[in-house]
Amino acid sequence: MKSEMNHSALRVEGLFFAYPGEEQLNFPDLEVTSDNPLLILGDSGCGKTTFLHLLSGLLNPDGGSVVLDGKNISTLNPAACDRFRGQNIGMIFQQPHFIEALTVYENLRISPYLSHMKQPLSALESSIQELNLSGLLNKLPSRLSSGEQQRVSIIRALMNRPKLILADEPTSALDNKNCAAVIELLIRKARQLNAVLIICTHDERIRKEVENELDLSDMTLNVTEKP
Amino acid sequence: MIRKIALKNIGYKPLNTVLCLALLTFSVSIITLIVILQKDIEEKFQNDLRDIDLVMGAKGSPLQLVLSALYHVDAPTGNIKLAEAKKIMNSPIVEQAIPLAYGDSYNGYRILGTEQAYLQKYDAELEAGNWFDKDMEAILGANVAVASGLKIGDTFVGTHGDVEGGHLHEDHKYTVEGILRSNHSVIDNLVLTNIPSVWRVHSSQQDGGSKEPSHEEHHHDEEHHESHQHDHPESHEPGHDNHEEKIIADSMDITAVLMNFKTKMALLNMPRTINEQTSMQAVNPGMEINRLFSLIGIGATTLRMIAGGIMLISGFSIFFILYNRMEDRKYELALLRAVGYRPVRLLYLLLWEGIILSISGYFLGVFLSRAGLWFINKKASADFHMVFSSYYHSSEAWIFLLTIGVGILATLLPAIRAMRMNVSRVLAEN
Repeated sequence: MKSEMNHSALRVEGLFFAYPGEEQLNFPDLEVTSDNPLLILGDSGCGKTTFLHLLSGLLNPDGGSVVLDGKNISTLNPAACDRFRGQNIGMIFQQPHFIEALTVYENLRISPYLSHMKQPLSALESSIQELNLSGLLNKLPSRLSSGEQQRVSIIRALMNRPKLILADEPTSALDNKNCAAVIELLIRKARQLNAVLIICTHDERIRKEVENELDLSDMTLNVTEKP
Repeated sequence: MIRKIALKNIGYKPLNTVLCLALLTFSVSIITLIVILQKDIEEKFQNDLRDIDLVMGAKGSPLQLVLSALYHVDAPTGNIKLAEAKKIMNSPIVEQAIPLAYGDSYNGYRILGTEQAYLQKYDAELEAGNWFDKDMEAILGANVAVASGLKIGDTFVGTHGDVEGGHLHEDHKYTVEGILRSNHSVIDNLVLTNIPSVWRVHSSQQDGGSKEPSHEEHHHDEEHHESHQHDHPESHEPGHDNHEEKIIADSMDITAVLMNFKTKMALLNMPRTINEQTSMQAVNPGMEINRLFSLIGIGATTLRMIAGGIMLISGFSIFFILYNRMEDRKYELALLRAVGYRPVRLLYLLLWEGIILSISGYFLGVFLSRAGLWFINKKASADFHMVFSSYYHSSEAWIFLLTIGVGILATLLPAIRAMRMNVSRVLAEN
């Protein structure tokens, strides 16, 4: 797959990493564009989270490269890497994390790179408005249901208008109804923002929503035919 | 944003915050109070010392003599014979000698019989009226005037002794002749008159006839002085009251003499001469006050150490509270890293929390110390005629630095731990 013009693209080549005293993990080469989200599957412990952290720059690979829109993340120094992540990558976790002392609205604005942005994101305005109507914006995150929390954390991950969205088991703690709502929100917003979306999961409920799959257990890259 | 998070975090666990703040506040206020009180007392005592070389008075406690004759906060040691004192006062090596006679008070303020030289020594200036020049004329110190409400021309009677409610000398009325401008020295709290006035008030009770100058000069009789336990220039023996205005001065008693010498040598020799060869004692007030301060200093140092201990505990409590919360907070710290904050920003975050706590603790402490000072002033001004200034002392700056230092030190270890956190591992822990 070649990236078209104005589509963001992530390219991974020859990536490998080893935790101290453990076996080396080798990751397949791949290229993901913003028009085609990628699902990463695999048994727990096969390195899904490690892979995401290597893509986000939270971990430094022992070799290989991660290139987002022409920028090689693996060669950045730590400070530049933090800045690059803050400006270009949105992360969503299995358990939504928040600054507990801050309200939902303040949590949406914790990114240090928001003040540099020209205008509020039109793509997110409706979502924020929706939270506001449900009276959630001024609550503390701990007061929200887990479905609400995950929706808020998705919107927060998008606040910096990322080129790459990395979601680690975003639905595993949710019931069916919330799962569907969250995955729909994630895919729709990624498309609106023209961002590359990569979801790590072993949640079967997501598989029917996403065409591209990478199974890290056997290193196979599949494109499933949607019904 | 980091500062906002720090601020919000402090408010998020109010009980922890209250504990830290309370400990900091108490330690700061105690240290501040001790510093202010000690400084103020020392300044006041040094100010009232006025380079007086020697205080001469009846034998007894040297410190008591200094406290009573110089600072008017203690009862006199007894009386001395003017005739005997004069022999020393007229010595050629004495540059200046100011006799004092006291023992009565008005509303708790001491009535001091003395000479104009005393007023000059304390740079007294009149706010209103005139200096005393006749008997039974009095001038009031600034605080006395305010407290009593007496005006020029008003009359009042003294009370025997230093406390209110004693025997009133009702047949001898003083007339207010002048009121002094406040100059923050001991004279603010005195009623000043001449020595003959003091004699006159008491001569009605005095067995005057038995005393004759030449007789006294030869005697230096001890038995007279030993019996003078009361703070009173005259003896109490009932005597004839309708005497003439004929007071033979040399036969009279005074309470103390403030002296300056022409040479340092005299200052060294004179006390020994007086102590060994007369019934009086001579005390170097500077030395006595330094000794008093070194005694007070032991107490103040102890209190300071206690306050320092409380501050140490507050430092530890900040440390424990932050350190314990690290486990709860590691996900939010990891989140901050994930959204692009550099590790050093997490260090700032925790340091800020410590600094905000210590700054708030400091200002609460300063506020509490002022409240304490106000309370002490209410008591001290009634009991000791002493008012402590509640202005900000420059020496409080180091208390500020100390408090901030404690806050930073207590936060440093958790902050470094936050900075070096392995974000990837924390986020993978789910």
